Amino acid sequence: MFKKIIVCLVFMSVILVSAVPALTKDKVTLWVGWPLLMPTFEKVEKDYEELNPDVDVEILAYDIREFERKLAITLPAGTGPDIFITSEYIAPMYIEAGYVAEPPEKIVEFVEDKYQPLVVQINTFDGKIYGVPHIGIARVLYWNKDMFFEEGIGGPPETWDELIDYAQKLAKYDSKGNLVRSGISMRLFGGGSGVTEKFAVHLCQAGGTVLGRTKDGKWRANYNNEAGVDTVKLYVDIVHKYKADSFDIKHDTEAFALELAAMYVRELFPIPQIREANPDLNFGTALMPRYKEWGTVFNTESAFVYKMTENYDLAWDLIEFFNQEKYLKEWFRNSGWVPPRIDIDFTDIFAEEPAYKTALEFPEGYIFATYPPLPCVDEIYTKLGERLEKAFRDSSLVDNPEGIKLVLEGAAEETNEILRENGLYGEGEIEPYWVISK
Amino acid sequence: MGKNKLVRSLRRNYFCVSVVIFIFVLYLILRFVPIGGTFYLSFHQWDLIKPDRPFVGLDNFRKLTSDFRFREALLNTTIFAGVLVPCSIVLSLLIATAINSGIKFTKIYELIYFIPVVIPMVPASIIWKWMYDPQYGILNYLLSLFNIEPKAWLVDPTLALYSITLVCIWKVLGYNMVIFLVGLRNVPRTYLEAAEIDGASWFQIFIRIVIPLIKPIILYLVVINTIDAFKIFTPVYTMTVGGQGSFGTEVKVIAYEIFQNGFRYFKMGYASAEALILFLIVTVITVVQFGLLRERE
Repeated sequence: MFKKIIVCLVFMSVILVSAVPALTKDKVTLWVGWPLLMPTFEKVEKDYEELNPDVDVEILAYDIREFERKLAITLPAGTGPDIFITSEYIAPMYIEAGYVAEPPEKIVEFVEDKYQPLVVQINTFDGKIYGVPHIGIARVLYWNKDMFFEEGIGGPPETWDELIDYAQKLAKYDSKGNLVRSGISMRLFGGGSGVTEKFAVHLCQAGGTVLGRTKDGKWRANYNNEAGVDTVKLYVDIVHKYKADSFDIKHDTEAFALELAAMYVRELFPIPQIREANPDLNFGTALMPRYKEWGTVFNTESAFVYKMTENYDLAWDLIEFFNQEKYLKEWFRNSGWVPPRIDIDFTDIFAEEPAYKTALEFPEGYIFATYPPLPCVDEIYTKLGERLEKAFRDSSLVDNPEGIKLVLEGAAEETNEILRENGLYGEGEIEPYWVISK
Repeated sequence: MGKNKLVRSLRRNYFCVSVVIFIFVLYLILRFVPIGGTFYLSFHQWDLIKPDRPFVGLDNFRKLTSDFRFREALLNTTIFAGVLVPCSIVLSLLIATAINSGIKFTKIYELIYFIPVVIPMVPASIIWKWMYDPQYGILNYLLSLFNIEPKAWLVDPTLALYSITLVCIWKVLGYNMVIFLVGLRNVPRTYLEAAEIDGASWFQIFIRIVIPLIKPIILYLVVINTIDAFKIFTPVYTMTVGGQGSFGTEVKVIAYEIFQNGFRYFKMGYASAEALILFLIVTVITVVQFGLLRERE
């Protein structure tokens, strides 16, 4: 009996002694909505803890929607992470609610000096910078080089006319006339705001944006116009008139990697997945083709610090730490996560993967349509996406601009109603919400 | 005198009373408090992030009446329940009757039909999602053997709803079958033998004797299946909501609408109003079912 008591006491002492360092360590937590970043974040965690043995770093990644819900619940409850990485259209509602800390002066100077002016502009809220940008995401056109060369096409389309022409030439059908390879895989469905986002890519080329800014600083739908009609027409014609895409086959990255699509539009981070799934796939990326304008959708994700953090200095120190060139290059190389830095030379990365080059080199006059920094933007995009999906299915909209106008007017009414509910609706002259590359 | 009797009774049954009180308090906290909270929120506006929750009266309910998405979700959910409940009840009763009729290998059949019940819904939905794949799915392959055109099972908005209904019927069949088997095995053989002697056919025995005797079980399964049908969420979310070009068209059902409004658009008041409407609808349907199917005294 006496021996058992001694063994128990020794066992408990060992546990207590090993727990003491954990109890006396400072702990800093970071949450991110992109699991693909974790391999490099694990290195960041390990390296930072080696340099700072009295600090315990905990980095957690969640699925993006799950992450946004967790932030919404934990930040107001006072249980949020010390650092969170989120986009410039999610951050404003937390900044407005007082949950985001202002960075030290040196961080503000760092952002202003080291980042693309476009990125700094997007991440300035009411004249202040709150976060350190982690990624600048431009949507680009993926094209299968072998399929193009087989059809005698020398390179990616540079105009909408070429896009439509090439899509028809590249589409393939079986003996019964069913499409088995899309000439271009458009984002026709899929739920969420993605349908609207990809629609917005083509919309900006037609001269529109999902939301436009009014003179009084408020917002209104900016797609129920000629630009919107032209863009819906592009989709409807590709599916129903030219039959270069279809609802009945695979889409997006999966289709492209399986060689079931000759072109599609996405960010750069599918590239590592495509290389892994189909190492022999001969593909490239290109700037979007031009129509009345020339441009694409662009947004950023930045690291912000929670105002209620007990480790303010530590949090910013960790942010500076993982923004070192070696980690940023690793994210870029392995995940297609593009650091929008002007002080880093990415020549070595482009030499390994030339497809990445498209995301950082933009010509003068290239338009970047960005997400408006509004709390209701996800609702607007998701509900518009549902209506667009129905429109894309409707073959009666072929050569029917009046029909398309009706669809867009109905959608715009809903968009404007959502803006009114949030006190954001503006009247009068409207300007597209975009930035032009200088 | 009465009070003393109560106190004596409580003292005698101290253990039972304390256990029941504990469970009741837990139930109160986990069930009635959230339901009460939802009821309260349905008359307010709250974005989950800011602490203010202004009172808006019946505004949320007024908006619901003109919300075509809510109407579509209600219609889809009703169609789903209207197909799932009768199909699963009838099919499972037929299977249970066949198994109870004395065929060989009954235990194996019971096992085969019960396996879907124990598979969690998420992996089951993923498996079916692959079976429904428009290009590589087994269902379209089987159709091709008969020269039938491939179907966009989860992409065509009308077909998607019935594709999900099929999965849910497959999933619940085994559970209903087991419950029916219990009922069928408890039908006194003497009644059946007497009916046979009187010259009743199998069909007459089934309709006139078996069905009335297992009516409480039918009522139980109809009520439970209906409540579950109106709560449908997991297969819809797993199979048709995906983004990134996933081959599924989101099927609007009430539970997903509530989830979307509450946790995506952060309109907690509006989502609570939708939840309250769903609660009232299910309560009314349950009461009607009890009224129609309960045994008359």
